[in-house]
Amino acid sequence: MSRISPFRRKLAALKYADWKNFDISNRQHIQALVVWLEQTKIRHYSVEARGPLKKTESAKWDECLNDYLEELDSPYRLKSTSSSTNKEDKEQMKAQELEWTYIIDWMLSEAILCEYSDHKDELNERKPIRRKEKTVYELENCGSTKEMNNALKDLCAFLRIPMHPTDNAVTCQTILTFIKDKFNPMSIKNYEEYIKDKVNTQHSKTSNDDDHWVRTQSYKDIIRFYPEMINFSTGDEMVDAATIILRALYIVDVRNAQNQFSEILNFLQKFTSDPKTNAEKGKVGW
Amino acid sequence: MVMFDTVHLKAIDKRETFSGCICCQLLFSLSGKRKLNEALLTFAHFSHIEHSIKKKKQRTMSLGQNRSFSEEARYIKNGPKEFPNLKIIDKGFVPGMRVVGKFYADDQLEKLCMDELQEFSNRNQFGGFLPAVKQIANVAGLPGIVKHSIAMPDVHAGYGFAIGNVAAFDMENPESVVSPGGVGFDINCGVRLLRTNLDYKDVRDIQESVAQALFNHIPVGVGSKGIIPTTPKDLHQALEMGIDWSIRQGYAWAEDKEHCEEYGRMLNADATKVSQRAQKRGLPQMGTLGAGNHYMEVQRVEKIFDKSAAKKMGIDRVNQICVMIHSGSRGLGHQVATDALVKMEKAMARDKIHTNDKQLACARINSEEGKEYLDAMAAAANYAWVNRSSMTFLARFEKKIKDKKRFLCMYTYFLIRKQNIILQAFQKIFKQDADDLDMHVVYDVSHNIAKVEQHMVDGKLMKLLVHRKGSTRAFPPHHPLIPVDYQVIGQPVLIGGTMGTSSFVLTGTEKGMRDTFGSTCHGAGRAMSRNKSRKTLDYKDVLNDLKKQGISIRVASPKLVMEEAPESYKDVTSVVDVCHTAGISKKCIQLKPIAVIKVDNLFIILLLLASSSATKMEK
Repeated sequence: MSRISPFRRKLAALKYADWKNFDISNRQHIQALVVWLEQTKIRHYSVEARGPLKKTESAKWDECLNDYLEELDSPYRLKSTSSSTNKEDKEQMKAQELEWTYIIDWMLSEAILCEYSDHKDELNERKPIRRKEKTVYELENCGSTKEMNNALKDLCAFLRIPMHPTDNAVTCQTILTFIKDKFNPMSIKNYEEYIKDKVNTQHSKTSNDDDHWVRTQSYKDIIRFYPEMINFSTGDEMVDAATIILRALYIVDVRNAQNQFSEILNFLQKFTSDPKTNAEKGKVGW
Repeated sequence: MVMFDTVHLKAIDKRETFSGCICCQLLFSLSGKRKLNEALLTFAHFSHIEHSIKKKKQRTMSLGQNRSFSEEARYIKNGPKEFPNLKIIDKGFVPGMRVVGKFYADDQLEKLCMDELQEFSNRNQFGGFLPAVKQIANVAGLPGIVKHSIAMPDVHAGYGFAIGNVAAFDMENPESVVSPGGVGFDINCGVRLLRTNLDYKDVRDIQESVAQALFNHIPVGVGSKGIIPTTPKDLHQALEMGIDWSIRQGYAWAEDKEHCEEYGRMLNADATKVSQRAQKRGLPQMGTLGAGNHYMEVQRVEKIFDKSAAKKMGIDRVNQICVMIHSGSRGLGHQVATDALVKMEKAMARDKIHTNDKQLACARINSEEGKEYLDAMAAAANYAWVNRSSMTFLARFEKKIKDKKRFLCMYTYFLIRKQNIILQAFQKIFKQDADDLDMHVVYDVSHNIAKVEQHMVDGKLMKLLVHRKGSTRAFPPHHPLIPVDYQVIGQPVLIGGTMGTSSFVLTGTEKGMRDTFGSTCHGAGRAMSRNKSRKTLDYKDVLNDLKKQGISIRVASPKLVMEEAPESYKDVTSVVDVCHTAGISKKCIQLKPIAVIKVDNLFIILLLLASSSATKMEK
């Protein structure tokens, strides 16, 4: 995994224009950021007094920065003098980079504090941004002409789904959901694999094959084909069939939730996982 | 009837006084240093023995146990007709039974239990271990027990509780107890089944050479220390987190968690309740198999009884290769149980809890000792899950060996010092490229554990502490606590076989939930004790028998061969059949071992089914 710049979130929060490309090892980037922070966020100096800090080319800039940090009561100072030209000394570079990390991080926190105190009331009233709601298709006005009814009837028969007796909007919505669910690329791929499996295992066809859903016509079929889904009877076959459907939906829901958990765990494992074995430690005998 | 004990008989033979006998000493002092008259001496011994028998009789009479075998047998009856294979132990079989005992057995298994009882009666209920039926009845006398004390067909005598005993205690009842004997010493001993996408034909041709390579390279002797480096801090976290620790550290896949009982973690675990001594024992043993009847087996699917259920488990064809791991919490669990037993003996005296058997040490669930044990037990259970996960990791051998059949490298999981040599051996045998083996955990059951569960008892929902010792949880379809993948088929139950015999996968049923608190058998169960096996069986006969079945043994300790011989165990198939007919679980898959690894304290057994028998079968 690539290393994430520790400042990205803070820079993004402060709406720094170049937040994505900020590089702590680049002196120009740092200087530009320091000047930007003072000019737009911290505003400790008056406009005139900012002159020396703006002169990034000057050799005295480091001293200037240390004075500035002192005035801000920062616990960090730039100790090593500007030696970024000395690229051979890698260790020194590293130490300097670490120094800059502390300073910039502190300055960013300070800037966020200033930003917050400037817009305190406004920020406190903010609510989490709502996700865009899914596009709702306008189905209310789909009408109920004879033509429309017949067309829907055909479509429903083709898709093998029941049709709402009165409200065409409900039927349309159902068709939409069904198509989305069954005809997305993933489902089609799964189905192709399923068919392939089926062909391969044609010879071992048994009574409890999974083809029932194709043939399921009424609630009685549901009870007949999925007896394992219900271990009791309410006495009303319709209710029993509904129970089976609810159970099936519940299983799908839990499966999805379980998949999400596993995905999260897998993602976190990228950070925490560090399995080790040490054959030397294994002891044989006494 | 007068019985001589052996020491006295020897003393009589030698015509000496027996210094341990008070009567003899008395006589000796009376008669000074003169040699005693033989008759007098015999009389002394007689009177002493009669005296001790009288005392014993008085004691047994007070317990109501002075009965002949035929009298005893009257208390054991067949269950109602609608419950096939159910036997009832009536109240009064032992004193103080609060509920009736019951056990599942066919005629043959019942005979084993009755033989045991007869032997005990013939001994005048003296010495030796208590027969399993007595133990079931003793458990029925524990305070707070609900409904029945239930035993599975694989029941055999154990410490306090019989192995195969299920007992539930009402959590609402302040009298209710928790007993370490009801969990066993190997806390959360359990079985894990991994599936692979390999076929038997992929392994058949090489199994002999693999065995030979291993035989040449594995030093005789067990790895008693694991190859997963563990610090005390790691152990502490593992005890609290269970399989979550393994997942965090990268030893387990995220998907493993959902296919473990309790999701691989007991939430009430408290590592601080596990004694330093126990932790010290557990630290180096992480990821090791253990001794005794623990094993790791490479198995092939022999028979599928329930095709759709098997498919849900990812097992879809005969001869698919699976790997079974049977292991527990090692020394750590043992120490936790031992620590608790010591503390509970004191608690029993304090709370005035009376039991028929001293081994049934227990404490009230709400007492400090009870709570402490439950927390420590949960931690030990977590350790066992981490242990099995670590072994799974070693079996999967992720990214370590680029080899299609790399799973066979799990042989090396027992921590072999000269691992490199073995790896080289494998590399010589398998030259193919790496391939995804799809080694998913089918399920992970524990058969030595006590858990708080909700059950319907006489139409009322009750919160119970269910002790399962040598018995496996078998929840029915649609139970909220079983993984979503198995909601329709019921919880998979893994039944480990014995040396060279089949293993089974069962599924839980509604009937089991009603009748046995959702429990079923756990394995074959011993038919004779280890000692008896050693005395009665000849290891050469055992080897010959195995050879006839097409099983060849590469390395073996005669002692372990005898102890773990199929004759020492009940027939696993009939045990499973009894559970199936009784309806407490349903047969799903039968597995047959190809190679078995068993570890004893000193020896590794490697069993191999000769490819000849399999080839015959395929033809």
